[in-house]
Amino acid sequence: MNKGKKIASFLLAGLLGVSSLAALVGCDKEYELSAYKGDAKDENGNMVYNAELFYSNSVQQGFPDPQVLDDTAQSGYYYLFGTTGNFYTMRSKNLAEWESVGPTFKNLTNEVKRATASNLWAPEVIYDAEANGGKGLYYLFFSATPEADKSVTAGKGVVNDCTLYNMYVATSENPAGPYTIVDFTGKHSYNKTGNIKLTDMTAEDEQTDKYAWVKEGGEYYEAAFPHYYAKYCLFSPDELYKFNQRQGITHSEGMIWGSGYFGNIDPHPFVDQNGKKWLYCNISRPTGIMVIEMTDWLTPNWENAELLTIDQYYTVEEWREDRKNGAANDDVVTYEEQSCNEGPHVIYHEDKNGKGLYYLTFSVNDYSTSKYSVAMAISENPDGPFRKLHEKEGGLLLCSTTTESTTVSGAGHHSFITREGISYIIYHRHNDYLTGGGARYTAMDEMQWITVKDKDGNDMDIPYTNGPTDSMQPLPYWYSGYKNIAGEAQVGTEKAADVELEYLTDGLLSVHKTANEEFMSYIGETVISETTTFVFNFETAQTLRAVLVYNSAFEDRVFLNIPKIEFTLEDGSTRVIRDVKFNVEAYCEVSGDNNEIIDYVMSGAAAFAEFYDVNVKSLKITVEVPEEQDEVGISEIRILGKAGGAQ
Amino acid sequence: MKIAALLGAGALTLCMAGCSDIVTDPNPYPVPTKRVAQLDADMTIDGKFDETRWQESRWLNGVDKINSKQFADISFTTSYGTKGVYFGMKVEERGTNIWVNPDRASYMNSCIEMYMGPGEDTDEHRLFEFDFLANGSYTSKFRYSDWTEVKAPVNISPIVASETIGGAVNTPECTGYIVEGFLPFAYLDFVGYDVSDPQNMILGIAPVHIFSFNYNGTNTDADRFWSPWPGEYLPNFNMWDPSTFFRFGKSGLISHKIIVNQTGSGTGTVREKSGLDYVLSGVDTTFVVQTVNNAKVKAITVNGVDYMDQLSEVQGEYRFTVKKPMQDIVIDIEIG
Repeated sequence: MNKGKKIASFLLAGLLGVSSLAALVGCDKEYELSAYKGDAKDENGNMVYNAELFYSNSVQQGFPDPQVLDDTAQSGYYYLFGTTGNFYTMRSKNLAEWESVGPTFKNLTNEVKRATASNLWAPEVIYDAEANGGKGLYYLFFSATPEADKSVTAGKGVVNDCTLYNMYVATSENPAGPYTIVDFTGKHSYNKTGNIKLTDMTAEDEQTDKYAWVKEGGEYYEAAFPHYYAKYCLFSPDELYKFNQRQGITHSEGMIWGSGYFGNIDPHPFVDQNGKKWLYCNISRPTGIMVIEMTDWLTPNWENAELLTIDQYYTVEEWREDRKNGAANDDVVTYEEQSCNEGPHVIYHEDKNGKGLYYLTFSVNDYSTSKYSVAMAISENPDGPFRKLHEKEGGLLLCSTTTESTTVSGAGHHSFITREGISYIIYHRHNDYLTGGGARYTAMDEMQWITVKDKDGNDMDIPYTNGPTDSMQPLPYWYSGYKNIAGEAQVGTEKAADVELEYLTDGLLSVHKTANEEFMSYIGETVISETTTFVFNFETAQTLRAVLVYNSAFEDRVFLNIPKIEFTLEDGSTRVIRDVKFNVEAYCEVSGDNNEIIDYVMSGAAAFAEFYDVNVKSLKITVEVPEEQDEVGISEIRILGKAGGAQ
Repeated sequence: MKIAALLGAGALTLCMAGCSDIVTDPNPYPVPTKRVAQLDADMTIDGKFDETRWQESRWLNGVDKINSKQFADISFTTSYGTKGVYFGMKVEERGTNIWVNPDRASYMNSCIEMYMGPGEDTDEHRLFEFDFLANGSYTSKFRYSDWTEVKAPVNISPIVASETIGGAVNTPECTGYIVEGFLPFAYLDFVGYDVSDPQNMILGIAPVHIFSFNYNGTNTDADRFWSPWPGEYLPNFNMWDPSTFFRFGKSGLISHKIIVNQTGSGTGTVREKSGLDYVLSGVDTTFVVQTVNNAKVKAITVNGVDYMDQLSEVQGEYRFTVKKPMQDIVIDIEIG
């Protein structure tokens, strides 16, 4: 050893001695767990997040009127259909990032193009594994308006000019298409050249609009649609007209502009528990939801068709009663300010006692406004009668106005996807919060079942949506590999404190600021009045990847900082993440000389930290109550852990 | 000695700092990166035409004139890679400046407002508008109902970059811009194009140009000049019919060379009427012959066919039109 090295060794020994001494006098070392806390921005100033773990509805993609087809059993993909001009199809493996798979239709004949010339709206697809000789077939239902056909002008009924919103169906062996429009020639009473002569037609019938008829050469004919496009209509125009008549919808109510006759939009195919097929759709004048049993997906059974809702009425019965008595509606549905019931979707759910209900969820109010929302009605049968739920019963399933959002508007027209016990609502909202209108894109949020009291005080399960959010949210765990396991931990506080912990891990995000108070009582926040450390103990070690602490939906209860998250690892050592800030710039609107006053907080937003996998037995999360603030509300704490436990 | 001093200083520092109680994680967790569309290996999108594919592409060179003092020289081309379509464009304005205000609509800013559709398509619903702004930003819209903004997934979204000429945008020095753009095939598929045979895909493109006159204005009549200048070069140009636009393919403008062989005792020039360097494939093309000192055209053939009967003389200029050219045009002309 040369002299220089001797000196170095001596000093090194001395250095180690100092360190040992420091340890002896009780200097605790804190081992950092490196984490990303959302403090990076992209070139547009938006927060960067890990797209393998999270998604955000602030990314605008997809279509208006979205329907997601779960084709994972066949192709491994979810398929997205929506209103896109001539329809394009997209697909995804995680419901959050969509890629195009091309036009839904290809090589349409000129006649089909004319028959579907405009208003191609709201397609929905269902897969029938038994169809096509057992090879399976995809059925795509949609509405469109044909080019006006002025070649037939005689008579009354629906012969004039054209109809609006005919229902069409197309089929394909591939979910992405291309789909072929079904020609119903010979399937229903359409017969352009040989209409059925009405031998018993009387002048009185003519006055009462008993039939949808055509008068040609002085003779009456039954088929009211001697038009080129009628053979493509899923619904026999004649039967639809008679259905309307049976429901008490008069000829003049079904007309618009004295020419076009309204039909149906927003089809939704549904298969009941017993295998029976149903097609729900909007009926456009008056506006409501109807259902018709389908013998197969191309054959409506008009003997089993029902009107299920009428806008602004809680039940169809009340509407019928008012019409019978010539009375005005004195019990207008509180959340229906404009005439619109559309975009139906049906789910069947059994509560813990095995009682099953059909939940008809549908959109209300004008789609171009911020008030467009998803509402809910229930029935014991798929064909009704349905009763719209009151707001206190959770009748408003998805609504941007009750969140008082300053970025989300017009959340509605939805479908649901459930996989491995986790449900999502997929819906559209406006591209531009301020202008609303027809420009909309696809978003998704979680949906969970909760139990509330119905209007008679009985327990009733209803779906609750954790949205609409505009903030970063965890991707479905079956894609990311990480699920929220906070609920699996034993939860407490480090010091004894009078804190309600039940809301901390119930999976429900507090998103509404101004919803019905009685309903809001089901969705609580954990409120603390002093800085509090929450402790999560797992029975066995878990592999963790991220922690999210969801903030209060209310401006006066916002936390700004999680000063410390401490993880106790399997070997008893600890790792610490310090100062996980709530992203005020992204999620709040502030004022004051130093931007110290929070005027608005985006509900459903979280402070978060993500890190490399770490095996953890327990963790402590400290939430700070800001100075000069009485309390803090915590909507939820989520701990993303590897599905299947520690690795 | 140096080592000893260094270690001594280290020990002293540690002692003076007391106990360092935070031990930094040796595995720093990275900031997540954004996934973007993949480019071909030979390309970068940076607003510089330094890749060889730009030299190998055929360019459309045109002039967009408001008047004799305010005009723009515009060059535009395409090049197909294995991942998507690359767009190159250069705009040099005279008598105007380059303004881009991100807080107003794209069509108020200095840009190439590219209208594009499948080259054989006559359906306006297949039109697609893509605004390449001078600062490298862009907007894209479907022709759906009205113009509707395209919202595509990040991993298939376009990549665009620009370089300015003379100085930064919104300064008096700036007189033009160069834009490189990349639209992945997956993106074109997303907006409705048939990309099943991408290398043979023909695009109808109208690179409409917008002169912007100021930074803040939003009056479409007073604060900008929207110029469908392709109409000066295309006899049947219709803004709603992509089949009447310039046609571009994998190597740029679909066009044919003009080769002039001049003989005889006189001299003169032969040029395409609008000043294009090429004849547009399938588009009737008129040529202008200007002779010097009143010389006469004695003979003329086009691709070996006698065109003397096709010549018309207007105000001392000869003109003739080649119908729907589909090959290079070889003009043999004798002037005497």
